[in-house]
Amino acid sequence: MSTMQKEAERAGIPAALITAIPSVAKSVGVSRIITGGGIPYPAGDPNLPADREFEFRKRLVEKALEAITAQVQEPTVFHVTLA
Amino acid sequence: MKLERGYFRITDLAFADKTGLEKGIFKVNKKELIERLLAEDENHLIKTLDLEIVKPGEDARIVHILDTLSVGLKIEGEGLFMPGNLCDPVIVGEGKTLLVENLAVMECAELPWAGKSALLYPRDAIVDMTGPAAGYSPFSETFNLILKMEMVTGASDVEYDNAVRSAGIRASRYLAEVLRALTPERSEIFDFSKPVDPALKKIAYVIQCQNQGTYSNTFLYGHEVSNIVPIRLSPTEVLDGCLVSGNYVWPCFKVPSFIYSNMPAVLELSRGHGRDWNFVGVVFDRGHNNSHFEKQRVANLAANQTRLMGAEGVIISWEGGGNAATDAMLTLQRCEAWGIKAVPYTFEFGGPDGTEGILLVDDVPEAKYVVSTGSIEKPITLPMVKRVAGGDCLRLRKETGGAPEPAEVERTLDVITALYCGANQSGIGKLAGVPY
Repeated sequence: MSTMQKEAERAGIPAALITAIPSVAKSVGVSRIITGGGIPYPAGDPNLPADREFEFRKRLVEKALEAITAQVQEPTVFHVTLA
Repeated sequence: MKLERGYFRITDLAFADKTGLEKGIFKVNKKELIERLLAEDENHLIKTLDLEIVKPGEDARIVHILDTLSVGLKIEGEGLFMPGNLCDPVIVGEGKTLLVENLAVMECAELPWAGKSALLYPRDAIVDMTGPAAGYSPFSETFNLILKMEMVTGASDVEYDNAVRSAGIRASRYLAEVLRALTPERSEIFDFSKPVDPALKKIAYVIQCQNQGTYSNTFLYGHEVSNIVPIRLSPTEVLDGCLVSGNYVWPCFKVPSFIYSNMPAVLELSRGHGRDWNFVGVVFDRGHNNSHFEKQRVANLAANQTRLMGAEGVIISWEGGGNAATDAMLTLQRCEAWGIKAVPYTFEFGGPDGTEGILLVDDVPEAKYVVSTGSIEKPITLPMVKRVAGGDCLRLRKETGGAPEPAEVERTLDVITALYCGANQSGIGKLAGVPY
Protein backbone atom coordinates (compact mmCIF):
# COMPACT_ATOMS: atom_id res chain seq x y z
CA MET A 1 0.00 0.00 0.00
CA SER A 2 2.84 2.34 0.88
CA THR A 3 4.52 1.59 -2.45
CA MET A 4 1.27 2.30 -4.32
CA GLN A 5 1.00 5.68 -2.63
CA LYS A 6 4.61 6.53 -3.46
CA GLU A 7 4.27 5.45 -7.10
CA ALA A 8 1.08 7.53 -7.53
CA GLU A 9 2.88 10.57 -6.14
CA ARG A 10 5.84 9.92 -8.44
CA ALA A 11 3.45 9.94 -11.39
CA GLY A 12 2.26 13.37 -10.26
CA ILE A 13 -1.02 12.23 -8.66
CA PRO A 14 -1.35 13.36 -5.04
CA ALA A 15 -2.27 10.35 -2.89
CA ALA A 16 -2.96 9.77 0.79
CA LEU A 17 -2.65 6.48 2.68
CA ILE A 18 -5.17 5.57 5.39
CA THR A 19 -3.32 3.11 7.63
CA ALA A 20 -3.45 1.72 11.15
CA ILE A 21 0.36 1.82 11.44
CA PRO A 22 1.49 5.35 10.57
CA SER A 23 4.99 4.64 11.90
CA VAL A 24 5.64 2.05 9.19
CA ALA A 25 4.26 4.34 6.47
CA LYS A 26 6.43 7.15 7.78
CA SER A 27 9.61 5.08 7.81
CA VAL A 28 9.13 3.94 4.21
CA GLY A 29 8.56 7.53 3.11
CA VAL A 30 4.82 7.85 2.46
CA SER A 31 4.19 11.59 2.17
CA ARG A 32 0.52 11.85 3.27
CA ILE A 33 -0.55 9.51 6.04
CA ILE A 34 -3.93 9.31 7.77
CA THR A 35 -4.11 7.31 11.02
CA GLY A 36 -7.00 4.90 10.43
CA GLY A 37 -9.07 2.66 12.67
CA GLY A 38 -7.25 -0.67 13.17
CA ILE A 39 -5.17 -3.18 11.26
CA PRO A 40 -8.14 -5.39 10.33
CA TYR A 41 -10.23 -2.27 9.54
CA PRO A 42 -8.05 0.72 8.54
CA ALA A 43 -10.89 2.74 7.01
CA GLY A 44 -13.42 2.28 9.82
CA ASP A 45 -14.03 0.87 13.28
CA PRO A 46 -16.70 -1.84 13.66
CA ASN A 47 -16.56 -1.45 17.45
CA LEU A 48 -18.44 1.82 17.10
CA PRO A 49 -22.24 1.96 16.76
CA ALA A 50 -23.20 2.22 13.07
CA ASP A 51 -24.03 5.94 13.05
CA ARG A 52 -20.81 6.87 14.82
CA GLU A 53 -18.76 4.62 12.57
CA PHE A 54 -20.31 6.34 9.55
CA GLU A 55 -19.22 9.69 10.98
CA PHE A 56 -15.71 8.34 11.68
CA ARG A 57 -15.37 7.02 8.13
CA LYS A 58 -16.58 10.33 6.75
CA ARG A 59 -13.95 12.16 8.79
CA LEU A 60 -11.24 9.79 7.53
CA VAL A 61 -12.17 10.49 3.92
CA GLU A 62 -12.45 14.24 4.52
CA LYS A 63 -9.03 14.23 6.20
CA ALA A 64 -7.61 12.28 3.25
CA LEU A 65 -8.99 14.91 0.86
CA GLU A 66 -7.44 17.60 3.02
CA ALA A 67 -4.12 15.70 2.92
CA ILE A 68 -3.97 15.46 -0.86
CA THR A 69 -4.54 19.18 -1.21
CA ALA A 70 -1.99 20.13 1.47
CA GLN A 71 1.62 21.12 0.77
CA VAL A 72 3.87 18.51 2.41
CA GLN A 73 7.67 18.54 2.44
CA GLU A 74 8.23 15.26 4.30
CA PRO A 75 6.18 12.27 5.56
CA THR A 76 3.30 13.89 7.40
CA VAL A 77 0.73 12.21 9.62
CA PHE A 78 -2.82 13.59 9.72
CA HIS A 79 -4.95 12.56 12.72
CA VAL A 80 -8.70 12.10 12.89
CA THR A 81 -10.60 12.12 16.17
CA LEU A 82 -13.10 9.32 16.84
CA ALA A 83 -16.63 10.45 16.16
CA MET B 1 11.83 -15.02 44.93
CA LYS B 2 14.32 -17.90 45.03
CA LEU B 3 14.22 -20.86 42.67
CA GLU B 4 16.54 -23.82 42.36
CA ARG B 5 16.53 -25.66 39.04
CA GLY B 6 17.89 -29.22 39.02
CA TYR B 7 18.83 -30.60 35.62
CA PHE B 8 18.98 -34.05 34.10
CA ARG B 9 20.61 -34.63 30.72
CA ILE B 10 19.68 -37.80 28.88
CA THR B 11 21.79 -39.83 26.47
CA ASP B 12 18.89 -41.74 24.91
CA LEU B 13 15.11 -41.96 24.68
CA ALA B 14 13.44 -45.34 24.11
CA PHE B 15 10.14 -47.16 24.41
CA ALA B 16 10.08 -49.83 27.13
CA ASP B 17 7.76 -51.79 29.45
CA LYS B 18 8.15 -49.32 32.28
CA THR B 19 8.47 -45.53 32.22
CA GLY B 20 11.58 -44.31 34.02
CA LEU B 21 14.97 -42.68 33.82
CA GLU B 22 17.96 -44.92 34.40
CA LYS B 23 21.63 -44.47 33.51
CA GLY B 24 20.80 -41.51 31.30
CA ILE B 25 18.21 -43.41 29.26
CA PHE B 26 14.66 -42.09 29.42
CA LYS B 27 12.27 -44.99 28.88
CA VAL B 28 8.61 -44.55 28.04
CA ASN B 29 5.81 -47.10 28.29
CA LYS B 30 4.19 -46.22 25.00
CA LYS B 31 0.95 -48.15 25.53
CA GLU B 32 0.35 -46.73 29.01
CA LEU B 33 0.92 -43.12 27.90
CA ILE B 34 -1.27 -43.43 24.78
CA GLU B 35 -4.08 -45.00 26.82
CA ARG B 36 -3.84 -42.30 29.45
CA LEU B 37 -3.85 -39.42 26.95
CA LEU B 38 -6.84 -40.82 25.10
CA ALA B 39 -8.73 -41.54 28.33
CA GLU B 40 -8.12 -37.99 29.59
CA ASP B 41 -9.17 -36.42 26.27
CA GLU B 42 -12.57 -35.67 27.79
CA ASN B 43 -14.36 -34.59 24.62
CA HIS B 44 -12.89 -37.40 22.48
CA LEU B 45 -11.42 -35.01 19.93
CA ILE B 46 -8.26 -37.02 19.32
CA LYS B 47 -9.23 -39.74 16.85
CA THR B 48 -5.86 -41.48 16.82
CA LEU B 49 -2.68 -40.89 18.77
CA ASP B 50 0.71 -42.43 18.15
CA LEU B 51 3.99 -41.74 19.91
CA GLU B 52 7.22 -41.41 17.98
CA ILE B 53 10.80 -40.85 19.08
CA VAL B 54 13.14 -38.66 17.07
CA LYS B 55 16.75 -38.25 18.16
CA PRO B 56 19.52 -35.72 17.49
CA GLY B 57 21.53 -36.52 14.37
CA GLU B 58 18.87 -38.80 12.92
CA ASP B 59 18.17 -38.61 9.19
CA ALA B 60 14.65 -37.44 9.98
CA ARG B 61 12.23 -34.56 9.44
CA ILE B 62 9.49 -33.63 11.89
CA VAL B 63 6.37 -31.97 10.42
CA HIS B 64 3.04 -30.55 11.64
CA ILE B 65 4.61 -29.26 14.89
CA LEU B 66 2.18 -27.19 16.94
CA ASP B 67 3.89 -26.69 20.30
CA THR B 68 6.88 -28.16 22.13
CA LEU B 69 7.03 -28.49 25.90
CA SER B 70 9.65 -29.02 28.59
CA VAL B 71 9.48 -31.90 31.01
CA GLY B 72 9.55 -30.20 34.39
CA LEU B 73 8.42 -31.05 37.93
CA LYS B 74 8.11 -28.80 40.94
CA ILE B 75 9.22 -30.68 44.05
CA GLU B 76 9.34 -27.72 46.44
CA GLY B 77 7.34 -24.50 46.50
CA GLU B 78 3.76 -23.78 45.53
CA GLY B 79 2.09 -24.76 42.30
CA LEU B 80 2.83 -27.08 39.41
CA PHE B 81 5.21 -26.55 36.50
CA MET B 82 3.07 -24.80 33.85
CA PRO B 83 0.60 -23.51 36.46
CA GLY B 84 -3.02 -22.80 35.55
CA ASN B 85 -2.98 -25.46 32.86
CA LEU B 86 -5.20 -28.37 33.96
CA CYS B 87 -4.55 -27.18 37.54
CA ASP B 88 -5.08 -24.12 39.72
CA PRO B 89 -3.36 -20.87 38.68
CA VAL B 90 -1.07 -20.89 41.73
CA ILE B 91 1.81 -18.40 41.56
CA VAL B 92 5.06 -20.29 40.93
CA GLY B 93 8.72 -19.29 40.95
CA GLU B 94 9.71 -20.35 44.48
CA GLY B 95 11.28 -23.56 45.70
CA LYS B 96 12.78 -26.26 43.52
CA THR B 97 12.04 -27.52 40.03
CA LEU B 98 13.53 -30.53 38.24
CA LEU B 99 13.91 -30.54 34.46
CA VAL B 100 15.22 -32.82 31.73
CA GLU B 101 17.09 -30.24 29.72
CA ASN B 102 17.32 -32.12 26.41
CA LEU B 103 13.95 -33.90 26.31
CA ALA B 104 11.04 -32.27 24.47
CA VAL B 105 7.38 -33.21 24.07
CA MET B 106 6.01 -32.21 20.68
CA GLU B 107 2.35 -31.85 19.75
CA CYS B 108 1.92 -32.65 16.05
CA ALA B 109 -1.40 -32.61 14.19
CA GLU B 110 -3.13 -31.22 11.13
CA LEU B 111 -5.58 -28.60 12.33
CA PRO B 112 -8.22 -27.17 9.96
CA TRP B 113 -7.28 -24.51 7.40
CA ALA B 114 -10.73 -23.93 5.95
CA GLY B 115 -12.24 -20.55 6.74
CA LYS B 116 -9.04 -19.12 8.21
CA SER B 117 -7.54 -15.76 7.30
CA ALA B 118 -4.61 -15.69 4.88
CA LEU B 119 -2.21 -14.98 7.74
CA LEU B 120 -3.38 -16.67 10.90
CA TYR B 121 -3.84 -20.38 10.32
CA PRO B 122 -2.04 -23.42 11.74
CA ARG B 123 0.94 -23.58 9.41
CA ASP B 124 3.17 -26.55 8.88
CA ALA B 125 6.29 -26.27 11.04
CA ILE B 126 9.38 -28.27 10.13
CA VAL B 127 12.42 -29.49 12.06
CA ASP B 128 15.23 -31.31 10.24
CA MET B 129 17.35 -33.31 12.68
CA THR B 130 20.40 -33.24 10.42
CA GLY B 131 21.59 -31.44 7.29
CA PRO B 132 21.58 -27.76 6.32
CA ALA B 133 18.31 -26.84 8.07
CA ALA B 134 19.07 -28.51 11.41
CA GLY B 135 20.77 -25.44 12.83
CA TYR B 136 17.62 -23.35 12.43
CA SER B 137 15.87 -25.13 15.30
CA PRO B 138 16.99 -25.86 18.86
CA PHE B 139 14.89 -29.03 18.63
CA SER B 140 17.38 -30.70 16.28
CA GLU B 141 19.48 -31.12 19.42
CA THR B 142 16.82 -32.48 21.78
CA PHE B 143 15.38 -35.96 22.17
CA ASN B 144 11.83 -35.48 20.96
CA LEU B 145 8.80 -37.48 22.04
CA ILE B 146 6.21 -36.77 19.40
CA LEU B 147 2.47 -36.92 19.96
CA LYS B 148 1.27 -37.65 16.44
CA MET B 149 -2.44 -36.88 16.59
CA GLU B 150 -5.28 -37.16 14.15
CA MET B 151 -8.30 -35.13 15.19
CA VAL B 152 -11.98 -35.96 14.70
CA THR B 153 -13.81 -33.67 12.29
CA GLY B 154 -16.49 -31.11 13.12
CA ALA B 155 -15.15 -29.56 16.31
CA SER B 156 -14.40 -25.86 16.83
CA ASP B 157 -10.97 -24.26 16.72
CA VAL B 158 -11.15 -23.54 20.45
CA GLU B 159 -11.84 -27.22 21.13
CA TYR B 160 -9.01 -28.46 18.90
CA ASP B 161 -6.56 -26.01 20.44
CA ASN B 162 -7.56 -27.07 23.91
CA ALA B 163 -7.32 -30.78 23.08
CA VAL B 164 -3.82 -30.69 21.57
CA ARG B 165 -2.42 -28.35 24.22
CA SER B 166 -3.88 -30.44 27.03
CA ALA B 167 -2.45 -33.64 25.54
CA GLY B 168 1.02 -32.08 25.43
CA ILE B 169 0.81 -30.84 29.01
CA ARG B 170 -0.48 -34.21 30.23
CA ALA B 171 2.32 -36.07 28.46
CA SER B 172 4.91 -33.68 29.90
CA ARG B 173 3.50 -34.18 33.43
CA TYR B 174 3.40 -37.97 33.01
CA LEU B 175 7.09 -38.04 32.03
CA ALA B 176 8.10 -35.52 34.69
CA GLU B 177 6.64 -37.68 37.46
CA VAL B 178 9.59 -40.12 37.16
CA LEU B 179 11.96 -37.34 38.27
CA ARG B 180 10.39 -37.15 41.73
CA ALA B 181 12.52 -39.95 43.16
CA LEU B 182 15.74 -38.95 41.40
CA THR B 183 18.67 -36.65 42.20
CA PRO B 184 19.59 -34.19 39.45
CA GLU B 185 23.07 -34.15 37.94
CA ARG B 186 23.53 -30.43 38.45
CA SER B 187 21.57 -27.48 39.65
CA GLU B 188 21.60 -23.71 39.68
CA ILE B 189 20.01 -21.26 42.05
CA PHE B 190 18.32 -18.04 41.02
CA ASP B 191 18.01 -15.93 44.13
CA PHE B 192 16.11 -12.67 43.80
CA SER B 193 15.36 -12.43 47.53
CA LYS B 194 18.71 -10.95 48.62
CA PRO B 195 19.60 -7.27 48.29
CA VAL B 196 22.26 -6.60 45.65
CA ASP B 197 25.05 -4.05 45.31
CA PRO B 198 23.29 -0.73 44.57
CA ALA B 199 26.06 0.17 42.11
CA LEU B 200 25.03 -2.62 39.73
CA LYS B 201 23.11 -1.52 36.64
CA LYS B 202 19.41 -2.33 36.73
CA ILE B 203 18.22 -4.33 33.73
CA ALA B 204 14.65 -5.36 32.82
CA TYR B 205 13.47 -7.70 30.09
CA VAL B 206 10.27 -7.10 28.11
CA ILE B 207 8.64 -10.22 26.63
CA GLN B 208 5.98 -9.26 24.10
CA CYS B 209 4.01 -12.33 23.07
CA GLN B 210 1.65 -12.98 20.16
CA ASN B 211 -2.06 -13.31 20.98
CA GLN B 212 -4.33 -12.74 17.99
CA GLY B 213 -6.99 -15.37 18.58
CA THR B 214 -7.26 -19.14 18.65
CA TYR B 215 -4.20 -20.83 17.06
CA SER B 216 -2.07 -17.74 17.71
CA ASN B 217 -2.51 -17.29 21.46
CA THR B 218 -0.25 -17.35 24.49
CA PHE B 219 -1.46 -18.57 27.87
CA LEU B 220 -0.41 -16.83 31.10
CA TYR B 221 -1.28 -19.00 34.10
CA GLY B 222 -3.65 -20.95 31.90
CA HIS B 223 -5.53 -18.16 30.17
CA GLU B 224 -5.01 -16.39 26.85
CA VAL B 225 -4.01 -12.75 27.09
CA SER B 226 -5.90 -10.75 24.46
CA ASN B 227 -6.84 -8.04 26.96
CA ILE B 228 -3.66 -8.02 29.02
CA VAL B 229 -2.09 -4.80 30.21
CA PRO B 230 1.69 -5.05 30.63
CA ILE B 231 2.50 -6.74 33.92
CA ARG B 232 5.59 -7.51 35.90
CA LEU B 233 6.65 -11.13 36.40
CA SER B 234 9.46 -12.62 38.42
CA PRO B 235 12.05 -14.25 36.14
CA THR B 236 11.52 -17.42 38.18
CA GLU B 237 7.80 -17.52 37.30
CA VAL B 238 8.77 -17.56 33.61
CA LEU B 239 11.30 -20.33 34.24
CA ASP B 240 8.59 -22.32 36.05
CA GLY B 241 6.40 -22.32 32.96
CA CYS B 242 3.82 -19.60 33.69
CA LEU B 243 3.78 -18.95 29.91
CA VAL B 244 2.45 -21.72 27.67
CA SER B 245 2.17 -21.34 23.92
CA GLY B 246 -0.95 -21.98 21.87
CA ASN B 247 0.64 -20.30 18.86
CA TYR B 248 0.52 -22.44 15.73
CA VAL B 249 0.89 -19.74 13.08
CA TRP B 250 4.27 -18.54 11.67
CA PRO B 251 6.69 -21.36 12.56
CA CYS B 252 9.89 -19.30 12.31
CA PHE B 253 8.69 -16.62 14.74
CA LYS B 254 6.78 -18.51 17.37
CA VAL B 255 8.07 -19.07 20.87
CA PRO B 256 7.24 -22.61 22.02
CA SER B 257 6.44 -23.35 25.67
CA PHE B 258 9.81 -25.16 25.88
CA ILE B 259 11.63 -21.92 25.07
CA TYR B 260 9.46 -19.80 27.39
CA SER B 261 10.54 -21.98 30.33
CA ASN B 262 14.17 -21.73 29.14
CA MET B 263 14.08 -18.17 27.80
CA PRO B 264 17.73 -17.39 26.95
CA ALA B 265 17.67 -13.77 28.09
CA VAL B 266 15.84 -14.67 31.32
CA LEU B 267 18.40 -17.38 32.10
CA GLU B 268 21.46 -15.28 31.27
CA LEU B 269 20.18 -12.19 33.08
CA SER B 270 19.28 -14.38 36.08
CA ARG B 271 22.73 -16.00 36.08
CA GLY B 272 24.46 -12.63 36.21
CA HIS B 273 22.02 -11.12 38.74
CA GLY B 274 23.80 -9.67 41.78
CA ARG B 275 27.22 -10.15 40.17
CA ASP B 276 27.26 -8.39 36.81
CA TRP B 277 23.99 -6.47 37.01
CA ASN B 278 20.72 -6.20 38.90
CA PHE B 279 18.00 -8.06 36.96
CA VAL B 280 14.94 -6.18 38.17
CA GLY B 281 12.44 -8.45 36.42
CA VAL B 282 10.35 -9.32 33.40
CA VAL B 283 7.57 -7.21 31.89
CA PHE B 284 5.10 -9.30 29.93
CA ASP B 285 2.62 -8.01 27.36
CA ARG B 286 1.26 -8.76 23.92
CA GLY B 287 1.92 -7.21 20.53
CA HIS B 288 -0.10 -7.00 17.30
CA ASN B 289 -2.46 -4.55 18.96
CA ASN B 290 -5.00 -3.42 16.40
CA SER B 291 -4.73 0.34 16.24
CA HIS B 292 -1.98 2.92 16.60
CA PHE B 293 -3.68 4.15 19.77
CA GLU B 294 -3.68 0.68 21.32
CA LYS B 295 -0.05 0.11 20.31
CA GLN B 296 1.00 3.39 21.93
CA ARG B 297 -1.01 2.60 25.05
CA VAL B 298 0.53 -0.84 25.56
CA ALA B 299 4.02 0.35 24.63
CA ASN B 300 3.82 3.26 27.07
CA LEU B 301 2.47 1.07 29.86
CA ALA B 302 5.21 -1.53 29.27
CA ALA B 303 7.93 1.12 29.24
CA ASN B 304 6.45 2.60 32.40
CA GLN B 305 6.63 -0.77 34.14
CA THR B 306 10.37 -0.88 33.43
CA ARG B 307 10.70 2.71 34.69
CA LEU B 308 8.81 1.89 37.90
CA MET B 309 11.18 -1.06 38.37
CA GLY B 310 14.06 1.41 38.20
CA ALA B 311 15.52 -0.09 35.02
CA GLU B 312 18.46 1.66 33.41
CA GLY B 313 18.62 -0.82 30.55
CA VAL B 314 15.97 -2.92 28.82
CA ILE B 315 16.06 -5.89 26.46
CA ILE B 316 12.95 -6.33 24.30
CA SER B 317 11.89 -9.42 22.43
CA TRP B 318 8.67 -9.96 20.56
CA GLU B 319 6.92 -12.96 19.13
CA GLY B 320 5.57 -13.09 15.60
CA GLY B 321 6.27 -11.02 12.54
CA GLY B 322 4.50 -8.10 10.93
CA ASN B 323 3.06 -5.28 12.94
CA ALA B 324 4.24 -6.64 16.32
CA ALA B 325 7.47 -4.80 15.48
CA THR B 326 5.63 -1.50 15.89
CA ASP B 327 4.42 -2.27 19.43
CA ALA B 328 7.97 -3.26 20.40
CA MET B 329 9.66 -0.30 18.70
CA LEU B 330 7.24 2.12 20.38
CA THR B 331 8.14 0.48 23.71
CA LEU B 332 11.83 0.99 22.92
CA GLN B 333 11.23 4.60 21.90
CA ARG B 334 9.39 5.39 25.13
CA CYS B 335 12.14 3.75 27.23
CA GLU B 336 14.82 5.78 25.45
CA ALA B 337 12.79 8.98 25.89
CA TRP B 338 12.98 8.36 29.63
CA GLY B 339 16.72 7.70 29.49
CA ILE B 340 16.45 3.91 29.69
CA LYS B 341 18.71 2.24 27.13
CA ALA B 342 16.82 -0.37 25.14
CA VAL B 343 17.90 -3.10 22.71
CA PRO B 344 15.59 -5.38 20.72
CA TYR B 345 15.98 -8.76 19.10
CA THR B 346 14.54 -8.83 15.60
CA PHE B 347 14.48 -10.93 12.46
CA GLU B 348 15.35 -9.33 9.12
CA PHE B 349 14.04 -9.40 5.56
CA GLY B 350 16.65 -8.47 2.96
CA GLY B 351 16.00 -10.87 0.08
CA PRO B 352 18.29 -13.77 -0.83
CA ASP B 353 21.52 -11.83 -0.29
CA GLY B 354 20.37 -10.00 2.82
CA THR B 355 20.59 -6.43 1.52
CA GLU B 356 17.48 -5.90 -0.60
CA GLY B 357 14.73 -3.46 0.30
CA ILE B 358 13.71 -2.52 3.80
CA LEU B 359 15.25 -4.84 6.37
CA LEU B 360 12.84 -4.36 9.29
CA VAL B 361 9.04 -4.18 9.44
CA ASP B 362 9.28 -1.03 11.53
CA ASP B 363 11.95 0.86 13.39
CA VAL B 364 12.49 4.10 15.25
CA PRO B 365 15.52 6.41 15.23
CA GLU B 366 16.18 5.50 18.87
CA ALA B 367 16.83 1.84 17.92
CA LYS B 368 20.56 2.39 17.47
CA TYR B 369 21.61 -1.12 18.46
CA VAL B 370 19.65 -4.12 17.25
CA VAL B 371 20.38 -7.82 17.72
CA SER B 372 19.53 -9.76 14.56
CA THR B 373 18.04 -13.23 14.79
CA GLY B 374 18.59 -13.83 11.09
CA SER B 375 16.95 -13.20 7.76
CA ILE B 376 13.72 -14.98 6.87
CA GLU B 377 14.27 -14.45 3.14
CA LYS B 378 17.17 -16.80 2.56
CA PRO B 379 16.21 -19.68 0.27
CA ILE B 380 17.14 -23.12 1.56
CA THR B 381 17.11 -26.61 0.05
CA LEU B 382 15.94 -29.33 2.38
CA PRO B 383 17.48 -32.67 1.40
CA MET B 384 15.68 -35.98 1.01
CA VAL B 385 15.34 -37.68 4.40
CA LYS B 386 14.91 -41.30 5.40
CA ARG B 387 12.14 -40.80 7.87
CA VAL B 388 9.28 -38.37 8.50
CA ALA B 389 7.71 -38.01 11.94
CA GLY B 390 4.75 -36.03 13.30
CA GLY B 391 2.70 -36.57 10.15
CA ASP B 392 2.78 -38.12 6.71
CA CYS B 393 2.87 -35.06 4.46
CA LEU B 394 3.55 -31.33 4.33
CA ARG B 395 0.94 -28.61 3.95
CA LEU B 396 2.70 -25.53 2.66
CA ARG B 397 0.29 -23.77 0.32
CA LYS B 398 -2.82 -22.05 1.57
CA GLU B 399 -3.99 -21.38 -2.00
CA THR B 400 -4.43 -25.12 -2.53
CA GLY B 401 -6.38 -25.41 0.70
CA GLY B 402 -3.42 -27.22 2.17
CA ALA B 403 -3.22 -30.05 -0.33
CA PRO B 404 -0.81 -32.69 1.03
CA GLU B 405 2.64 -32.77 -0.52
CA PRO B 406 5.34 -35.38 0.06
CA ALA B 407 7.39 -34.56 3.14
CA GLU B 408 10.51 -36.69 2.72
CA VAL B 409 11.63 -35.39 -0.69
CA GLU B 410 14.22 -32.74 -1.53
CA ARG B 411 12.56 -29.35 -1.63
CA THR B 412 13.73 -25.77 -2.03
CA LEU B 413 11.97 -23.23 0.14
CA ASP B 414 12.14 -19.61 -1.08
CA VAL B 415 12.02 -18.34 2.49
CA ILE B 416 12.64 -19.99 5.85
CA THR B 417 9.29 -19.18 7.46
CA ALA B 418 8.30 -22.88 7.70
CA LEU B 419 11.40 -23.77 9.73
CA TYR B 420 10.38 -24.09 13.37
CA CYS B 421 12.04 -21.29 15.43
CA GLY B 422 14.15 -20.38 12.35
CA ALA B 423 14.24 -16.65 13.12
CA ASN B 424 12.41 -16.24 16.38
CA GLN B 425 13.16 -13.27 18.56
CA SER B 426 13.57 -15.13 21.85
CA GLY B 427 17.33 -15.11 21.27
CA ILE B 428 17.61 -18.87 20.97
CA GLY B 429 19.48 -20.14 17.94
CA LYS B 430 22.82 -20.94 16.40
CA LEU B 431 22.94 -18.48 13.53
CA ALA B 432 25.90 -16.12 13.52
CA GLY B 433 26.80 -13.11 11.43
CA VAL B 434 30.09 -13.03 9.56
CA PRO B 435 31.73 -10.02 7.90
CA TYR B 436 32.23 -10.30 4.15
